[in-house]
This record gives sequence, C-alpha cells and structure tokens, in this order.
Amino acid sequence: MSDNSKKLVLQSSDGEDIVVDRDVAERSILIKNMVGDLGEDAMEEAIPIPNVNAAVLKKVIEWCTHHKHDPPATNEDDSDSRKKTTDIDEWDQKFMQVDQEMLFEIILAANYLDIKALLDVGCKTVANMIKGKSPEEIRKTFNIQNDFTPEEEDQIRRENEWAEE
Amino acid sequence: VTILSLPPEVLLRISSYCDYAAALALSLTCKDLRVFRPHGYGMIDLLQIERWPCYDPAGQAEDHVRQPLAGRDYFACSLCLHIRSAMEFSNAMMKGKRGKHSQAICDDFGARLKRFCIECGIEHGKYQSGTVMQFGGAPLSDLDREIGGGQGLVCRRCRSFSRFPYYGEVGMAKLCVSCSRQLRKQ
Repeated sequence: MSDNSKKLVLQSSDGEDIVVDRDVAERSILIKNMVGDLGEDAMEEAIPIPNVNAAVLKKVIEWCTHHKHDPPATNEDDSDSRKKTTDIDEWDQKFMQVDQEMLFEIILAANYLDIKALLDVGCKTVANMIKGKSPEEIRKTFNIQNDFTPEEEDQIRRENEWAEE
Repeated sequence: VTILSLPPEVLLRISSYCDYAAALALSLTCKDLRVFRPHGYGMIDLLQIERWPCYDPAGQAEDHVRQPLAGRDYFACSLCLHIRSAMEFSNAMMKGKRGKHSQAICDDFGARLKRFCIECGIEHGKYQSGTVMQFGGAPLSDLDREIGGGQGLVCRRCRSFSRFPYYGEVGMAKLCVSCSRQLRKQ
C-alpha cells in the first residue's frame, strides 16, 4: 500500500521546486513509474521534469488536483475515435481557456508526462477549434503558413476523393 | 510553440477527434499536415465542405448576387457523392431548402441531404425523359453561352441531358439537337 498523504517535489525545467501530493503527481504515468523505480528515494529528492517549465507544470498540477478522484484511464484504444464525441466537461473547458501557446504547452506536457485524460481534453479542444472551418480559416486561427504553390494547391484539390474527375 | 510543434502522434489524435470535413481542412493547410488526410466520407461531410469559400463564392457575395453561377459555385450530390459545378444541377436543387444559404444550415441539413445532380437524377429515374428544367444557376447572357446556366432537356430519345443556351428554345418534340437531326435525316 502506498501512502498517499506523502508529498513529492517536482523540479521544473527552469529550476523551480514544486511540492505536490503524491496521488496527484501520480496521475502522470511517467512520474508514477519513476516513483515505483526509485522507491523511498523519490520522497527524499526533487524529481527533475526536464521538458516542462514551472508555469506549465503548475497548470498541469492544477488539472491533476481537480481530477485526482477520477477512475484510472482504461486502455481501450481509439479505432472508432472519429465517432467519439468531442464534448468536454465544463470545468475542463474553463481550464483550457488559455492562449494558444499555453494550450500547446499543456498538450506537449500531457504527452510527455503520459497523462492520457489531459492529453485528450487538449486534443478535443484543438479539434473543436478546427471544426466548421475552411483550410484558410484554420491557417488564420493557428498562424500556419500556406507552403503550397498555386499549382500544388490545384493538384491536391483534384486529389480529393469527392472532386470531379 | 505552435500547432506544428506537436509530435505526429498528437496531431493524429487531434485529427481523429475531427469530423471528415475538419480533418480534411486541416490536412489542406500546409505540407506538414498533408499526411493526416482522412478517408471515407458521407453527404453530411460534403455539405460542410461545399460551404468553404472556394466552393461558395455566392455565399461571400452581396445578397442580390447570391445566385449560384456555373463554373464558380459548387454543390454536393448525395447520389454520386461528388462536389460538382453548379452547371451540373437543376436550379431547383440549388435554392431554398436545398440551397446553401437558407435557415440554420449547420444544425439541420434537411432537404440538402437529398440533393442530386442532373446526371444522377436521370440515372436513378428521378428525371423522366422529356423533362425540361432550368440548370446552372444564373444565366450569363452576355458572356460565352457555354458557361452560363440556361434551360435544358432530358431528351426523349437518347435520355441524355442537353443544355440549351439561355435564348435557346426547347422544341415540342422534346428531342436534343443531335437526335432531332438524325430523325430528320431518316
């Protein structure tokens, strides 16, 4: 039995130590496995999280704290994901109301720390920003440079399955 | 950090949460995202795509020029599941409930789900031979007669659709030009 009242110290990429409840930190499969490997040593020393800065790490911890009583993620994977709903619960929607830079940082952190539920919320948020838009509107939304030449654009448009011969 | 900083497996996950039209639009934005191109679509997907500005210039126009134009505006056909030029549809299929600009388009696709092009209409027996209809949207009377909409006929003899220029007249026999020529020769 692990003692969930224990605290861990996480060290962000920019060198800040952040104290966090062990059961909150262990929403991250990466951290959970590290703690498992380190044993009691994990409680003594700060655990370095080299890919995530303090601002993002705090945001991730905020999410993990709110969701610490969620049932653990099941491993059914995503073959029919296209049909899956992109509904996001209200708290998570508010949580994700951040600028794009932070949104993508959170997604990258969730991916690195292996927090599947947070990664899903992030990906759904981005998907919802894409839905109902044309390619040009998506470029504007995400500041994507169109690197197709007009000829290439013509070509890919003809490659669409539903385009006229 | 931008959307292009995300690793491929994350971009794939985002794309998988999109419907067909959204995933396709994303894959058309730039070369790096081209690989996330989706496959398999239905009429609902096409009804979203036909509203993209490149297929719907009429939707961007002032109210009084919102009529579709052949060669400029495009519509989805529910039978062949293609997006085709306004030239390929009867005007009745492109206006009102079946058009693109009526009511709350996005919530309820309604009658648009059943739109079909002239070719499919003939093939599926929805247009009988001898049917006369307006097609191709607004007539471009002062431009090249080949482009604009006009009046057309499902020929009684060969059952093909023949397009008459705007000023053309459909004869009583309801035959296309080549069929009536052939009959006259005999």
